Amino acid sequence: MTNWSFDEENNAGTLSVEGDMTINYIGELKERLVEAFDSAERVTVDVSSATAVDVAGVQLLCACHRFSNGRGKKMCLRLGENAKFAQFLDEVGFVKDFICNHGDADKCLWTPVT
Amino acid sequence: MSSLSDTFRDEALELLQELEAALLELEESPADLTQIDRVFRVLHTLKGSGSLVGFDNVAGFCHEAETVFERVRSGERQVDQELVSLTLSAQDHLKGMILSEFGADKVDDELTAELVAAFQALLPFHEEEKNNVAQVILSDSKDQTTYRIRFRPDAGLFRQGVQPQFLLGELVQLGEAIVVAQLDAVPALDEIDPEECWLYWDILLTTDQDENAIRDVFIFVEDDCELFVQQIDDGSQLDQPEDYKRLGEILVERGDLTHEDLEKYLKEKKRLGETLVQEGAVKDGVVKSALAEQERVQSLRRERKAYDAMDSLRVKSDRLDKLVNLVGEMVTVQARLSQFANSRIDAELLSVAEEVERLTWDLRDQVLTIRMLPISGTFTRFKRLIRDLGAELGKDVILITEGGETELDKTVIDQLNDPLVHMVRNSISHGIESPGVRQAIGKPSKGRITLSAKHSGANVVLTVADDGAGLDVERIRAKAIEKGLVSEHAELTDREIYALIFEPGFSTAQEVTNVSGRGVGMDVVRQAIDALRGSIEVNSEAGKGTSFSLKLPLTLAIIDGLLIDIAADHYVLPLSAVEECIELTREESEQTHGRNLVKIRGEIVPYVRLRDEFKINGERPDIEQIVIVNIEGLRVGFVVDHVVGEHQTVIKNLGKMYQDVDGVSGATILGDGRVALILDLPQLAGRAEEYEKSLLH
Repeated sequence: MTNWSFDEENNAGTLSVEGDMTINYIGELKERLVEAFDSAERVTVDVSSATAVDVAGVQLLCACHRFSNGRGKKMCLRLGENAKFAQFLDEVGFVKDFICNHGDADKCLWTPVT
Repeated sequence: MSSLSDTFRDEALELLQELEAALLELEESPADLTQIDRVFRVLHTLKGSGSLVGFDNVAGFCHEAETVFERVRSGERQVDQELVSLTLSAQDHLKGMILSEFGADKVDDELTAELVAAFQALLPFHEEEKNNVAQVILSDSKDQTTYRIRFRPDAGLFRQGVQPQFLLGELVQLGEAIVVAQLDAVPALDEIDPEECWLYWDILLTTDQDENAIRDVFIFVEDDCELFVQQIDDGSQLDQPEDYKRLGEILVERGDLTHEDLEKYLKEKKRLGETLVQEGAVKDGVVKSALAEQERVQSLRRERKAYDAMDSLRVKSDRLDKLVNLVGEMVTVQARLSQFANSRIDAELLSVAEEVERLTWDLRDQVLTIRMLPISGTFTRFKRLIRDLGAELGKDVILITEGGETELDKTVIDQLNDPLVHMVRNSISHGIESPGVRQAIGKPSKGRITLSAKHSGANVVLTVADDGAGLDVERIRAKAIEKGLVSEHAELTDREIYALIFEPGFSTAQEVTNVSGRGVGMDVVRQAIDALRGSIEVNSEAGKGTSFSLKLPLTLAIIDGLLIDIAADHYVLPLSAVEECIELTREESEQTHGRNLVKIRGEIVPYVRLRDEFKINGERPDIEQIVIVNIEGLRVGFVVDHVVGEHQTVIKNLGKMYQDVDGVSGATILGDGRVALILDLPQLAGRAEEYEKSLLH
């Protein structure tokens, strides 16, 4: 369901989610994310191949972002061409510039890297 | 039509062609999933884009068909001949619906309802949904209201199998929505239980549905969430100012910030939003969502205003005044023409005169309507005045306006401003108590001033009311005695005492300067209202408040009058005040032994003989006429020689020389070129009252 790749030189890793990011799999997903943040300073969560998402899934990404900010780590979100995911963010009110940027637009998680 | 809707039309027609092709394919092979998806996608796109360009009926209709195909897609229903035929009919109908938005013939609403019902019949439990759907289609012309909604689910929401996105989706279906997720309560990854919901949402919804429809969306989770729905803008009220609340006010109303904190942070000179976020008083998301609300309501109000102004043309008011004058002249000439035609036995001339009369009256009505303006503009200006004056005097006052849409002649509105300002100032300085006093006597600390307007026959009644201390009858009386306005032993009713505040010299200069700085007393208010041919009524209750009701004519240019004769002279009485005309015989008037009283259906009514009042010589007829009028609730009779009849009275000023003549407010020119004076009934009645009193003492 997830795939972890690590770039030792840059202490950066990418966790690709390849299945559903929904409540049914949320416990497992949390474990993978905790592991990822434990092992790298810079974590990219790649959801471009995620097959489904719900509010619990998005909330977990938010928790990651809060965690990484608190630990001085860096987190990026890669949406790729996942239009379904983007549409979902829009529908549940995760609007760029409205939320989460804490006065610094660059820090907003919902300004994802494509 | 905007380019956006033009684009929609072009795309929609293409999509409908695609729909038709897909349906025909589906008829051949009903299990073809590609075609089912294709049909669903077209319907879904049409629904979304239709709603985007404001064609809610199209969106609502597509929603019905889409719902059925959603079930087909999920395998809960098979495609059959019935569904294909129905959807093909719907496709034709949709085309008609879209084209009708661009000027083609209207579609048959009954057919719309039939098709909707047919789609619903294909769904389980279709009976329950029927009502909701009918609303979607029929309600597109209703006014839009904007609500502020906060939905904060309990942490256990996911465990109950509820997905918030479906609730939000349903809410979005009700109208135009801005959804903002609030993330401030989400714990960090190492602390979060990912099966609990820590998000909450602020939603701004502009819809034609009522609050119950919004609450219905959350009906299944109402025990598992905090739901806060508040109406913040009402599209049916046109007299709202374009400005919306300030950021601080919105945050306090939403419960995100306390009054005390707001006061504290306002003292810092920086922008409030930035200060609040920096200080950690309010989360950034909450500020952003409040700003979104501010922007949305302002833009809605701007759009509404622009829509109102779209079909209007600015014309200088002096041009209108000239037009009204010309129409006035025309009414006079038309009266002459009618009189002339009536004196000749010439059917053709008479018919032309009648035609001219009809046209002139229409023209008069139209021209007078052009000058009518809603009073809301005047009301709005008082908001600032009340705020500033309240702050200056240390009183907390709010303004409530009612009936701002009531229309009055522009001239009347222009001349009303000063008297209204003075009355409002008086209410704040003398009427409304300071917040401490109000709280001590159990009143809300904020005082209320209500400005309201309503039609009453040919008049408009404007009321300035406060919920303050009420007029102090004893103090007014003492002051009046001190000023020598009444004798120490005079027995006065409350109404007579209230009337004293309008006496010249009643307000002391010092008092007026402190409050208004203009040196205007209530006597000037009365003069201004008199000049507008209006009247003032005062009502007051100790501890409850005072209200001033101004009764004003709709227009100052042309009035309906009652033409009467005394000897060889003509006079006009404003018809709006006249109640009835009765005969007065010589015997009847002699029976009252010099007192001017007449008994009408058991009621004693005082009268004024205008012949005596105007010192007109000559013998009075044996049978005179009494015109009974109603002045500020009192019935008074005016005795005249003859009542001629109704007369369209174009009001002319008397000129400087005669401006101060008592009992006469203007003049008019009659059809035969003679001049008739327009009588000032309240003044004449007042004089008669004084005369009667002098007989008693």
